[in-house]
Amino acid sequence: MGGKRNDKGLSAGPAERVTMKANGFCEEVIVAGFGGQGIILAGRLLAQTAMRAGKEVTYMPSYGPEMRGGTANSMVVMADEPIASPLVSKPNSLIAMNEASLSKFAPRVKGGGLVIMNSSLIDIEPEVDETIDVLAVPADEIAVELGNQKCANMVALGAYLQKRGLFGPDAAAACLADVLAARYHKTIPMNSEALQRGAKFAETHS
Amino acid sequence: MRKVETVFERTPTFKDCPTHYCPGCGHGIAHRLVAETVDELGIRGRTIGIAPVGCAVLAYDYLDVDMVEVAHGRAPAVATGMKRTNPDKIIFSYQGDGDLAAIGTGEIVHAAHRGEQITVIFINNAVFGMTGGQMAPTTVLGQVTTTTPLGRKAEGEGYPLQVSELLAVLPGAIYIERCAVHKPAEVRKAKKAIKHAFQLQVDGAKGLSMVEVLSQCPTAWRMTPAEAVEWVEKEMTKVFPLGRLKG
Amino acid sequence: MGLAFDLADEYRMPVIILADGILGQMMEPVVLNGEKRWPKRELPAKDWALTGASGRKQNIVRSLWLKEGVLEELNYKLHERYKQVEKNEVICEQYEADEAEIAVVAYGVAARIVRGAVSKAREEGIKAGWIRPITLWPFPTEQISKAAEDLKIFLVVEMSLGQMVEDVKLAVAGKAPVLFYGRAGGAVPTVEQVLEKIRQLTIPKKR
Repeated sequence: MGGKRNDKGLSAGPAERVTMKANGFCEEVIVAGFGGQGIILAGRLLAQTAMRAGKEVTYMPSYGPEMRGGTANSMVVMADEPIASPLVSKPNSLIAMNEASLSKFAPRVKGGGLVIMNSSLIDIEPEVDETIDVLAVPADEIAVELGNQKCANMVALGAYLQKRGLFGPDAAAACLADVLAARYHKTIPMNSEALQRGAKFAETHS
Repeated sequence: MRKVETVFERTPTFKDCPTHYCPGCGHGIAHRLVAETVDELGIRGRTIGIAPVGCAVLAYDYLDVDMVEVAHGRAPAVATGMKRTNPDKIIFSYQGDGDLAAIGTGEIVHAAHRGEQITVIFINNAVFGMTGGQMAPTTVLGQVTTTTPLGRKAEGEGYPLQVSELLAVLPGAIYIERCAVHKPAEVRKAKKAIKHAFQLQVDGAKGLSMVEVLSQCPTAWRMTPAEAVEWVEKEMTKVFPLGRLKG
Repeated sequence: MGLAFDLADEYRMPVIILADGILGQMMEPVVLNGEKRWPKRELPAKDWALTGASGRKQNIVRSLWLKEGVLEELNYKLHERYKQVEKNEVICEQYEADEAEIAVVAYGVAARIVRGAVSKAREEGIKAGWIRPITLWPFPTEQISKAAEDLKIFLVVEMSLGQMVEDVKLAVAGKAPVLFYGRAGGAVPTVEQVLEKIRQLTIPKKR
């Protein structure tokens, strides 16, 4: 005790005042599907890419105790100004990798928003109004063509990146090494290819 | 005039002060054995002791080494932290059965299981002494305590917990011995055991060493000191046989 | 975090960092400039530490004092230490709280959600601000009490059924109504829900 007070404005004086700027660009994304579809990884990669691009970003995963099966989603918020809540209740964009996720989250997408749906596993149409841009991507089929169904998440993410135009698939591919454990680095070429193929699909099907 | 020679004296680490322990209690002897060991090994300057909750909470009033008082039963956990952050120090805990074998069973089992390089002096008097003689996990069958007025029965109250036997099967425990302090021959054996347990730590042996000391508690047992000594010899050693269990 | 360790060291008092599930799960870029915001403190010497009594008297770390009067004297000393902490270590952030009519008080991730709700409310022309106690003890009683001079209503938002609301009420001391909105474990309030609560507030006429 009796230690010197060396910080200003934090003692019993007035509370530290915070200034907040007006809201600029803000993109809220939900990536959702089964556990094991790489939902968490796709969200992390998007968040990492946004961070490297100098955006403010938050990432919040939600999943059950199962490593496979069950439901998983990740919420990513990207903005120019510091982000308040990391929770997304009404996303601008949804990447739905299975039917249950599409049914659950599509009705929450904001007007003028974007839905990327994995048509390989989804037979239904999303319940959304006409202002919402819906793109059906056969992500699993494309992934199988590339040699591994597991990279369907990257195909869908590539399609999202192409549609939104925030960052290119190359920018995301460059962040794969950040989010993949070292033992999976051998999959980087295939994942990069999957991002490219997803983007290409979106470009030719819009 | 005959030359006067000192044949026995108080060891320096054993403080010169009146005792708070009851007449006939075994703690005083056990304290002295620890103090003698510390002096004989020349480790006073790097020994840190941990006092339990129980009668021996005041161990630091008698042992002239750095000591800390910890929450009931948590001495092996605190000792773990101390030894891991200060491997050159000699860390010992001094715990009763109410502390080590009841509320602290988890801590001692896991400290031994992890092979922590600490020394544990475990004083077993088969009751909660400080609080007035309630049944402890170590209370022997048939023993009358304030909470087993008709004697401890296995049905409903369980069997006496033999912690030394329990720990001896763990690879992380390298030395376990049970001693007593109710007669001079046993006191000498207990001294040897305590010194060995400290010596192992001084030598950097990899694992936990523990000496269990059967200690008489005439007050809680409602006996005279002489009867208490007899009871250790006749009853306690039947359930808690003396000798080296490991190492 | 570094500050928590320094405070614990300086006052020899445990510092408890309250976490929540979102803090444990979420990720965001972090700039580690703790040293700038919380400059390193001069920490007291640890002459009480148990280092082995080599060449000195023994050190004892204890809480048991049986001699008459000693414990009470110690308790007064410890009480004095608590008072010092209350005087010196309150940390609290606020936004427009003294120029608004409404103050929303929240800590932890609820404070992040409240931030979002308040900025949306301001876009709608509602005169709202927020107060975020960073230390819950020592509680920013003085800051809230001062803000209550001008503010007309308080809304406490928590991820519980109301653990801080009484502290706010004590600080406001009847100068304005204190309302509460909370969600129990398993649910997290959304920005929209908090915004709706803010919209529903009836601003009382003051004095």
